[in-house]
Amino acid sequence: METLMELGTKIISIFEAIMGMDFVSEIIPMLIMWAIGGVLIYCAIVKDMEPTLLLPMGFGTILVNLPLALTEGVISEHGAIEVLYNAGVANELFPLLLFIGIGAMIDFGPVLSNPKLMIFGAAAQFGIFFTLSVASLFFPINEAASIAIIGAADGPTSIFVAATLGSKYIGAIIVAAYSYMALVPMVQPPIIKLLTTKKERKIRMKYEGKAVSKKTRILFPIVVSIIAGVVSPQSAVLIGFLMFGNLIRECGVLDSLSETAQKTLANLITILLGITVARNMNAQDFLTIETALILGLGLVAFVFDTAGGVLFAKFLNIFLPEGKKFNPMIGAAGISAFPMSSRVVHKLGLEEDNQNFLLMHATGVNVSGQVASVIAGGMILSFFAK
Amino acid sequence: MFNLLMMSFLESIGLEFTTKNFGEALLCSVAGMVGIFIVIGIIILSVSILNKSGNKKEK
Repeated sequence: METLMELGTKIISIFEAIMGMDFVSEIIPMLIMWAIGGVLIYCAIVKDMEPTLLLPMGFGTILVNLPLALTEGVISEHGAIEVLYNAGVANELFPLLLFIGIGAMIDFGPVLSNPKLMIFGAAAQFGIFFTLSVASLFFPINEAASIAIIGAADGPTSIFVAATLGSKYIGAIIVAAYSYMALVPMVQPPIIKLLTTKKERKIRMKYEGKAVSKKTRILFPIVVSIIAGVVSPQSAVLIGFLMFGNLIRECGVLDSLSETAQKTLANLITILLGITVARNMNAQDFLTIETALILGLGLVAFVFDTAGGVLFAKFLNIFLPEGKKFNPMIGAAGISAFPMSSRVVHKLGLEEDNQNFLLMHATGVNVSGQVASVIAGGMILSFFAK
Repeated sequence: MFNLLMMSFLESIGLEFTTKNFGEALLCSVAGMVGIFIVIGIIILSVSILNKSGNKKEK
């Protein structure tokens, strides 16, 4: 037994000598981070969970935790990832450029034909503000605000807000945001079922597919940018880039640019963003009790977002006559995780009644959630950005 | 009493518990929710007006 212990100690000493690192305080955390990187890559490839971001992030996690990464490697002062981070994340450029691509991808048609659905997008941001209050009990107010924005269920908004507020937990925040977005099909159904009765889940909603004029589609991004810019100036840049992308899509004369924004630009930025945000995934920043707490608070944000949307729909139903009531499940789609959330609601509707098609209503609420989450990000910045 | 218990438990696992920011956070949360409803309300109103003017022209 003693010989085995001696052998183990000798092997560890050899490791320490070769790598110039302490086994307990440096090598073990490094190995744990490699494993976390591996898990992210596994989730991306095998489980198909947000692969476009989790795969580059997983690989980046391994890269930034290689020996001497901090002093001579990719995250040293002139290292490639550090340079990219300063060029695109620290100054919030990458998330904004990604917003152009996202704006070009979104069809606001379902919500433009039934604009009152947008109110659920607002209600489903409740989780952000609830989490802000809870997180303030454990973190400084700026960090609490950065953590709360996980509830926006929108990667670029989370990155933008956390980077603007200078959060040191940006790595954990992004992992939480993207993981829970991928886990929406597992997180939302139990909450929705807990808060609604079988009868409520069976409520059918008429879909009147009203045509939306081209003028409305073109004016919508311009009007929304102006309103958001006037009422909440801090959200102007976020909503402005999102709506610029949408204007390119809807104007009808820039098809080539629209296609480039949707595919080439969005893909390019996603590649760079994924590997760059991993900069904050080094062991000493990530392997802390705060990271575990942030992951927990992220879940709280998603749960209360869902609850906010569902309960608000139930509240409105009190005042509505039979036949005009909302199916409260559509409120849950306001959390922005597009398009998973609307699909979850549609599927739950079909489970209760195989002739209850909620997809168009839920999609309308879902795209409203996208706009509302960006506005919520702007609100957070207007309160806490200096 | 609860505060003290919570603080000592969280300190033992390396976390700090403080209520000094809670008031500000709560106030900002309420203001944020109200703000979002106002902005979205104005957007709904604007879209409804855009839709009506679009429909009138089509007629």
